Amino acid sequence: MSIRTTSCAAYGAALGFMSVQDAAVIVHGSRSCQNMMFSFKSLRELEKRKYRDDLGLLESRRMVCTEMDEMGAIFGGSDLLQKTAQSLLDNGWKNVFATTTCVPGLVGDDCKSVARRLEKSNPGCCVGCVEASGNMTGDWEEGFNDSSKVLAGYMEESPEQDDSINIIAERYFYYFNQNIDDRIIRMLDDFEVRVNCRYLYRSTMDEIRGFKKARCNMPVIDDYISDTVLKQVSFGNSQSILLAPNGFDAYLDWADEMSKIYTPRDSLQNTLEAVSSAKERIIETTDRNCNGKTAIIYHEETDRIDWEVDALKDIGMKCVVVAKNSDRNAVLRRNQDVMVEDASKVTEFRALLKEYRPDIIISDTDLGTSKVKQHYDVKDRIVSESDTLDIRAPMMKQFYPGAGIEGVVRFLTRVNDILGGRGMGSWRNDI
Amino acid sequence: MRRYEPDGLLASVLATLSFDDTVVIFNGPCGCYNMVAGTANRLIPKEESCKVDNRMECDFIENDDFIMGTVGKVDRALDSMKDMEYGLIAVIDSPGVSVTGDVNWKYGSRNDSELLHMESLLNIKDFATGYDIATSQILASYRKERRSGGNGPSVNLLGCCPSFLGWKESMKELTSLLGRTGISVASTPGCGGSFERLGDAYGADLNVPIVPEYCQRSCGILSDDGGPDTMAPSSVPIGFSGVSGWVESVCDELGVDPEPALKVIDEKRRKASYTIRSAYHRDGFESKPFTVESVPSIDSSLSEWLEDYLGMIRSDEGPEMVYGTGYTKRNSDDPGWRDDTVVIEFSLPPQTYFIPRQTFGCAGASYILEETFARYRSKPSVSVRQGRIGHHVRPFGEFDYLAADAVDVLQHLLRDHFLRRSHGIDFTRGP
Repeated sequence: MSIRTTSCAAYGAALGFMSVQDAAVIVHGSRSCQNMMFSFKSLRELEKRKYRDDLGLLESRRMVCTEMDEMGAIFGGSDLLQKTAQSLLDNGWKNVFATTTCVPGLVGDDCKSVARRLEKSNPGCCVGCVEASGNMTGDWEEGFNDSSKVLAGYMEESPEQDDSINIIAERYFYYFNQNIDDRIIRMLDDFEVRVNCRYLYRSTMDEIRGFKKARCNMPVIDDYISDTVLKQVSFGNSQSILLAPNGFDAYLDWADEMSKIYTPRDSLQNTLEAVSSAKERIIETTDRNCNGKTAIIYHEETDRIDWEVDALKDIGMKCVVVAKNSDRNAVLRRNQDVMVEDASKVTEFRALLKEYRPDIIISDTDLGTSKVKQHYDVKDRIVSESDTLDIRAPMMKQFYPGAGIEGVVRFLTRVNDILGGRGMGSWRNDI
Repeated sequence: MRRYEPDGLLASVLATLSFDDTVVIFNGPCGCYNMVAGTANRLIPKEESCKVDNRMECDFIENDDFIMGTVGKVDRALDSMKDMEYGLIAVIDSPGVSVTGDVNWKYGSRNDSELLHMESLLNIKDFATGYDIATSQILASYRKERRSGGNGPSVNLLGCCPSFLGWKESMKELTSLLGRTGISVASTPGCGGSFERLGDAYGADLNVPIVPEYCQRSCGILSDDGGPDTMAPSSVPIGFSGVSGWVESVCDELGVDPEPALKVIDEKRRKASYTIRSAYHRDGFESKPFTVESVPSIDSSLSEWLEDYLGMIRSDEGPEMVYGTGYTKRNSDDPGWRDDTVVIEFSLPPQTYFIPRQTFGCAGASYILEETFARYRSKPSVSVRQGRIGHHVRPFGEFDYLAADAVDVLQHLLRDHFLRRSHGIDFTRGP
C-alpha cells in the first residue's frame, strides 16, 4: 500500500487557521492528534529554513492541545476547550481558533457554543471553531474550507474599494520557498496596486477584517478548494475575480484584464515583451525534441491541468488526458478540444498506453518507473512525482508550477531534456 | 509554550515494525495512518525483506464506524493479509478508536498466537513508555518454541528503538564489540530480528538494556517468563566512555575479559583525539555550556562523556549546544535558550543519510563529535539573528590554520620585541 497524502478534516482546519499569523490554534482532542499534526507541519517548516531563527516562530508552534483523555471521552471535553481557550486569551492572544478531532466529535462536545460564549465574554477577541470531528466530516479539504468559512465570517463590509488586491490560497500545506513566494508580488509591480491580504497563506486578523476593501480577488490555484474558498469570500460583494496566470498566453490575458482594473505602469510593456520572447525562445529550443510528440497526462490528485496542456500545445505536442471518470470539466476548463480518456483501472491505463504509444507520461503520482516499464516498453520516459521537478514539492498535493511563467519554462525545459535523452538518472533502474 | 514530544502511538508502531516479520493493522482513519506511516516509513529502512509499505495496513475508519464499531473493517483488513507471510499481526488503535472501547473482536478462524491487539491509549503515554509497553506486549504474546542456550555466554539486547539514528548500525557494532569478548547475542527484541526467532531470547544468559527507559517492562516480562535475569549496566553505550563502561558492565556480569573490546574502543578514541588535535583544537569548545534533552540514562551518560572528553560544561541556562532525542529542534524557540544555540539531534525527526550514521557505539561517538564541531563552526552570527543575509564561518581548512599559526608566531615575536625594548629582557638567550 502506498502512503497517500490525504489527512483528516481537523488537520485541514488547523492549517487554515495557522495561516493567520496572530492567532493561536487549539486542537481539541487527544495529545497524539496534535503531535501528528505538529510533527508533519513543523518538519516541513524546518526544512524550509536554514537556521532556527530564519522565519521567526514556527507556525506549528502556535498550536495548542486540550489533551483530552479517557475522562474527557466519558464526561465530555467542552470544559477543557473552554479552559484552554480562556488561558490563551488571558495570556494576551486576541484571536483563538479551534478545531476538533474524532474524540470530541464522538462524544458530541458542543464546541461552537463554547466559542460563542468566549467571544461574548471577551469583547474585542475573535474565537472561532470548526467542528471537524477528525475525519468524521471528511478529508483535509473539507476542514480547510470550513476554516475559511469561519474566517470569512469576520470580514467587515466596506463601502469603498481601493487600489488593492487580495491573493487567495497561494498554497495549502506549507510555504513556498522565498523565491516563488515573491514571484507573485513581482508580477504585481507592473500595476499601481497594493496587496491587501494574502488570504489563507500569510495574513493577520486585521487584514482579514479589511478583506473587502480590495477591488479584486486573485485565486492562485485553479481547483475545487480554491473555488469553494472564493465563493465563501466573494459572496454578496462586488469584487472582481481574476485567476493568477500559469504560462505565456495566460500571462498576457491576465495582464490585459489587470489593466482594466488597475492602472498599468510603464514597466508592463517590457514585461509583456519579455514573456513573448520567452515563449518564442522555448518553442525554438524544444522544437527538435518535442514538436509532434505525444504526451499522456495521468494525474490522480491534481484537479485542473489547463496550464500543462497549454504549455505542451505551445511546443507542438499532442496531449491525451487520462481521467478516472469522463468528467472533462473536472480536469479541463479551457482546452475542450483535447482528448480525455477514461482509465479507472490499471488494465485500462495499459490499453491506452498501447493505443497511443506516448513519448512521455506526465503524472503527479509515483507511477514508479519500474511499474510502468513492466507493462510498457516504449521509450521509457516518464515525468512523475519521483522526479526532482522543483515545480512540485514531494508532499504537495497539486502539480502546480506557481504563478507566472518561470515554473512553466522549467517544466517545458525538463520535458525537452527527457525527450532529448537527458536528465533521467540511472538510479531509477535499481528501483 | 509547551514542549512537543513524540508519543506512545508512534512508538508502538515502531516497536512492532522493528521485527522483520510483523505486520501492523492500523485501526483508524487514513489521516492518522498517513502521518504515522509516513514517519515509520522513513525510520524503518526499506530493504527487500523489510518494506513498511507492505507491512502496515489501514482499515480506513470513517464516520459511522466510530459509532457502529470497527470489527467488520478490521476483519476485512485481516482478510486482505491472508496470503502474506508474517509472524505476528498487531492491531494498533488510532487515538479516536482507542476511546470507543471497541475491543470485543471475534476472529474465530484466526490463530490467537498470530494476532495481538495492542493496548489502547498508548497515545497518552510518552514515547519511551509506549515503546516499552508495545515491545513487552509482543514478548508476552510469543507462545512458540523456546530454545535453550548454545555454547558460550550469550545475551539479549533490548531498548534500542528505531527512532535512534542508525539503530541497525548501532546494534551491529554493539554485537560485534561483545563478539570480540566471546559473548554472542541471542536475540534483540524490539531492535531488529524476527518474531519467529524470539524463542532464542529464553536461552540467553542475561538481558542487557541499551537504554533502560525503553525496555524496563520488556526485560521484566522476559525474566518473569522463564527467561534470563536482567542486569543494570553502568552506562548507556553513548560516547566512548559510555561504550566502554557498558561493555565492562556486561563482561563483569558474565565473568568475561572485556580487554579485546576495550582495545578497539581505545583505538577509536585515540583516533578521534588525533583528529581533534589536528583540526579542531582551536575552536574553543572547552568550557562551552551544553545541555542534553533526553531520557535520564542518555542524559547522564552523554553529559558525563562530553564533560570529561571535550571539557564542555553541562548547563541548562543559556546552552550553546543542545543534544536531543525528541523534537528538540522544533522546540528550539524556547526562551531559556540563546539565539545562536546549536541543536544536534540523533533521534527523531527521521533523517536520511547516504553514509550510515548512528547514535550508539564508537561510530556514534564519532558522529556526535563530527556534528558538534561542524555545526559549531557554521552556526549563524549575530547578523543572521537580526535578519540580515550571510553567516559567519569559523576558520576552516588547512590554509586557515596556517594563517592562524602565522599570527601566533607574529604575536610571539612582537611580545619578545616589546619585552626586550621595555625591560631589557632577551628571551633568545638562555638563563
